[in-house]
Amino acid sequence: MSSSDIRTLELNMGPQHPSTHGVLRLVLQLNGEIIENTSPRVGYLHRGFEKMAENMSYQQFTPVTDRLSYVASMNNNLAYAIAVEKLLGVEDQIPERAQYIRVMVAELNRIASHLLWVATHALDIGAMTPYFYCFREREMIVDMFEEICGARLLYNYVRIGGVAKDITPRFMDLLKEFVKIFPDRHKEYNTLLTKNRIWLKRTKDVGVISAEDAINWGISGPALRGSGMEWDLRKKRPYAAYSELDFDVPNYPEGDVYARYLVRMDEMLQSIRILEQCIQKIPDGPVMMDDFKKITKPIKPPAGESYGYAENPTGELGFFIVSEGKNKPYRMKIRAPSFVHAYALPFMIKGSLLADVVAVIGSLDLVFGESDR
Amino acid sequence: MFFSDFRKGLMVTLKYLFKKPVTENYPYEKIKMPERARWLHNFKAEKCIMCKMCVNICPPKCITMDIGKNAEGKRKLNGYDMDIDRCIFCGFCVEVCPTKAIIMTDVHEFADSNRNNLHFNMQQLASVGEGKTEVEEEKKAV
Repeated sequence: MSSSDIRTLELNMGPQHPSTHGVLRLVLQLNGEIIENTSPRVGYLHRGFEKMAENMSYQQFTPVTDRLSYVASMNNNLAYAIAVEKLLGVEDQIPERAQYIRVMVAELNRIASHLLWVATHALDIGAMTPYFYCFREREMIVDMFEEICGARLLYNYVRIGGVAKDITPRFMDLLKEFVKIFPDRHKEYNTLLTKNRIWLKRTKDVGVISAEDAINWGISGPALRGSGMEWDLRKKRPYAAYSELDFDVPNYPEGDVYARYLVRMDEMLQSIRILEQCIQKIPDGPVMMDDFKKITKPIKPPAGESYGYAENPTGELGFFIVSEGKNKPYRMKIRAPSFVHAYALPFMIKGSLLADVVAVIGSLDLVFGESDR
Repeated sequence: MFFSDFRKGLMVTLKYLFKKPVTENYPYEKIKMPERARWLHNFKAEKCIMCKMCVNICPPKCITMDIGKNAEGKRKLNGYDMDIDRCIFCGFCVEVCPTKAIIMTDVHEFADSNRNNLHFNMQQLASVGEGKTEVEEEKKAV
């Protein structure tokens, strides 16, 4: 065999590679150190959620949605609850207090998810220190969730028609303390990473995607805002109590890994802003619609279809439900942002170095619980 | 200034070098669980009215209820088994129970190397959470 016959090297990355955050398998075609082509293989964590939904009552499926993106269970619950409420046509009858609690837990979970993201993404690239600092604050949020719903990771808290239980005074105390100290802690992460020269070299001009390409690939969430698009479902298609709250949508036009990092860092501070307003504005009253207080009572939506969505930390999570008028959905399609992002990955890493693959995978915040469903 | 970015970063780590650690000394010091903690179930057979609500709502279908008849021909609860191996700790069984026969305790240390030991029957479920309080009382006595 002459040397001209050797064209590319096929390299298998994952599914047990530590920096793929779960079970992503990439088949890379390498020319030296340059990526010529990539084909992502997903499905190693397939649990058949869409089929499970067809065999469960609407209420029973709520704890299953926790397991989609297991770092943002509250947001998953919220998206599902909105989808079913739309199907039933009761989305304007949700108690005001429940809507505010939903926003609070969703924003807290967004901060927790972004903290986990910064921690693991930095760890992938080689910065080990932020990991410990980020987990310290994440622990505070997890403690808050444990206080209101009793679980630390899979909450099953946001339900169809409201939230499961009212928040406790201790939760409010913990939240006020968290809101007070978090901006200072945020500055520490900035000091550790944002201006660090190694961090800049590893993330700037890596995995660039233009706004037009990002839209064409269906990218949503912080990855889209990192390409300069000011698109946030909380702002553009408000759900829960977001229309009454004031916040900005951070976006950076560069479209590289560093821009996506900055978007997520800024989003955490915006979430703190939302939480501060929620503490001020939260009204008293019931937290659950009377019709849905008993979870054994079967929900029979009229025949039809609905699409419920929420701005998850990863991107747009959507539930498309088709009902035949029975107590179980006829079909449920879950639009998972990680799945869409995983298939935009080959486009983003084409022509880049092998070492940058890890940075780009990290920047997209892929969670395989929701990607493989 | 040379390496000002690194020095600023190292100042953060230096600041925390002399502070108390934030970690918990867990296996040696037990954590206090919040009131709503969702852990291992406690089941009281005398309170159960055999409505089977928990069996029907359970998403992974891990509860089995055996209802027989006693000498007078009335319904009688013969067995109530939970496959904790399959349980997802969603808390639905506790929420639906009309008589609070099943509750969730804060017993969270039940890991086992044998999967069969995670099948809890009625007697085992009835004693969940009781042994723990005894241990705590012993500690207080010492």
